[in-house]
Amino acid sequence: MFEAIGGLLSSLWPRFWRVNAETSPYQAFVNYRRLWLTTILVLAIASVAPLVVLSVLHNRLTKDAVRVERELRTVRLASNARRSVAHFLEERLDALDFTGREFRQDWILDPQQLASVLEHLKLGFGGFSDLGVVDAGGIQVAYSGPYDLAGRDYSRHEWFERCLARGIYISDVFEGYRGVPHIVIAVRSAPEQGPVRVLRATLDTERLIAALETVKLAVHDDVFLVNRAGVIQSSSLLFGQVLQKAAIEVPPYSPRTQAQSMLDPQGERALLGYAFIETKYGETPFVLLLVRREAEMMESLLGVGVASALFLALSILGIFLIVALTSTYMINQLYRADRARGQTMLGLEEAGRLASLGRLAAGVAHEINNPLAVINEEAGYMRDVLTLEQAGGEPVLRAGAPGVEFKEHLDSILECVERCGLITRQLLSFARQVDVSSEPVRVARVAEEILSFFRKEAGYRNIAVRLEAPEEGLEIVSDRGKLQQVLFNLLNNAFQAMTKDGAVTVSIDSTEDGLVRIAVSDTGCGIPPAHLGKIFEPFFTTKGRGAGTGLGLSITYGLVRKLKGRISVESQVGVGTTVTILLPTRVQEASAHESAVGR
Amino acid sequence: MQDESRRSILIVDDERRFTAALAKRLELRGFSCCMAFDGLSALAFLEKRPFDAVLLDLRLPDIHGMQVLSRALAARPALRVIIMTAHGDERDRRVCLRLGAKAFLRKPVALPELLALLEGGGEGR
Repeated sequence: MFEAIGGLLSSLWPRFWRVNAETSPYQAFVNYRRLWLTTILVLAIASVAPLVVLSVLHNRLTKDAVRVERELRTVRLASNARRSVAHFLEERLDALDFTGREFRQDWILDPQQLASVLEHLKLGFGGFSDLGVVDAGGIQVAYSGPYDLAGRDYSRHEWFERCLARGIYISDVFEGYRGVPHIVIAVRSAPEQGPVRVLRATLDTERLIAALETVKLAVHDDVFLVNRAGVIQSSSLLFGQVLQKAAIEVPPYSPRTQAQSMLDPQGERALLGYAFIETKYGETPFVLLLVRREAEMMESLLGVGVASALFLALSILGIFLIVALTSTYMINQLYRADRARGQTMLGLEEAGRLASLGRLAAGVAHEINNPLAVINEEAGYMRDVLTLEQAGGEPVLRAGAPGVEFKEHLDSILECVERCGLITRQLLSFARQVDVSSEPVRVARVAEEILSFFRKEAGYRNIAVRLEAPEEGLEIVSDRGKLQQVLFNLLNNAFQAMTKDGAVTVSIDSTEDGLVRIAVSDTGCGIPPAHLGKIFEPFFTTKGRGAGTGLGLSITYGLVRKLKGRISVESQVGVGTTVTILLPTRVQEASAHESAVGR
Repeated sequence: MQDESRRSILIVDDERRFTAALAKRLELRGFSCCMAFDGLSALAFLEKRPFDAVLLDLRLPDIHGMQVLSRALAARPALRVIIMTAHGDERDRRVCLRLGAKAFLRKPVALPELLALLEGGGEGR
């Protein structure tokens, strides 16, 4: 288990992170860490961003849709409840109206007949608890019900006046002396039917409450009636007892069913649906309130939200994982390829060293062959002379003169031998680089040695060679062989940049921060700006096919990096090129060791 | 010192001691020698006198030995030109022989070989 996690982490964690970027001087062209991080960041953002935006949008749309749906449903429920209440009241008002119209008034005044009507109303509609007839003077002339209310004077009661004025009356819920919540409804008889009378009935509220209960959908749904003053008319779960002031403001009047959000008494967010109940006979004192908790309505949505958040989180995690794995794999491949190239370059560096040795050897052979040719002719001539004299022929030289003339020839021979010796010594000092990797080196002397290989060539092509160095000569501790190879390569390039007539200058000085600066300048063809950035890259060449390998400067670059130095090029087309090397006065032991291993 | 019967040779080389010593050795063997130390004076000599043979170095201070070779042969196609050089590689040898040089010798030169060529013996190499 732990091994599997470790394996995953190590495949996510790139190899190049653990190695020093300086392992090979040829690999420094790419910053793998930055490349890796940038790749992951860009790919991850590009793939995650649209997903997140879509999820947020979708979430918001869903919520909006659900809210609208919720409001609509609340309004619908409230409407249903309103219709139930209105229907309940209308039905009973209809019944009273019918009773008032269809029965002859005198007939109805008979207590037995009235009791029979009440019985039929109870059976047919339910909810009726008593029934009375009040004459125009406000006296209850007939009554049927559980109490003895016949002869009661209602003339001063508000309900009686209002019923006479408007034709109907519906009271608030009240307990009265009965101790049971009930409603009084009353209907006035039509004037054309004879003397004005009012039919008055008491309704208990149980049926009404039962009708409201059917509307409820969830445990915490609360459906109840208040009057317009806010007094609770039917039992409420949350807002108080019947006939108490409700713990909620009565919303402003609206002819249609409405919904709005609110906080219930327990602090839960809720939706309030409300409707002012009206019947075909006119308005009633009742307002229907329907309170539904949002949390309960949102339960299903919550599930969906959690699922989609989980899906989003998993997707993002998956994308990151895939992006990281892919990036790591690709950059690792790149790193491997680069490292392989670095190794190849190390090999090529050796090949380049051999190639420059080869060029050197060819040059040296020519330089030695010339003095040898002189020696050959001088010695041959002296032998000719001696051979002729021994053969007894006519003396070629004047008497006594051979000593003088032979001395000239022998001097010439010795001088040529000296020349050959100098050349072979220089060759030896060049080849010695294999043995020692760090030693005190006089930069100017090395430069002079290398320049001597080019002086003959310079003479033929009329190229002025100058060495500008301070009198005492700067000494650094460095790898002599590599320094020689660097200078040889740079001078070789300088000479290749010129055909005839020109100047090559090697100037050596020290910088303020304690580095040694070696600048090799030529007055050759120059390098176009477009090529300047690429000249240190392996296999970059502007020479024709087969003419150059494109490795010279690349190898030089690697060598300078091994010497812990820096190299830079300035050039102007048609004017010339200056290559500047900055070298430390001491190459550290560690790096010297490393370069010895690297080779 | 110079009479009509001796064959005349022009030695063209900027290494003066080499030229001088070789000239002396050839004169001991009955040749008449002239020396030129650069290409242009060599061509001037060739215009003035009908040499039997020219010993020519390739590296000269002014113009290249191959230029001397081609111009000299343009004027006198039958001229016997022998290249002697310390610098020539295989490609130089092929070019010179194609241009019409009789032989291409590398320094230092063995005298018997040179004499054989001057006597009209070996052709090329």
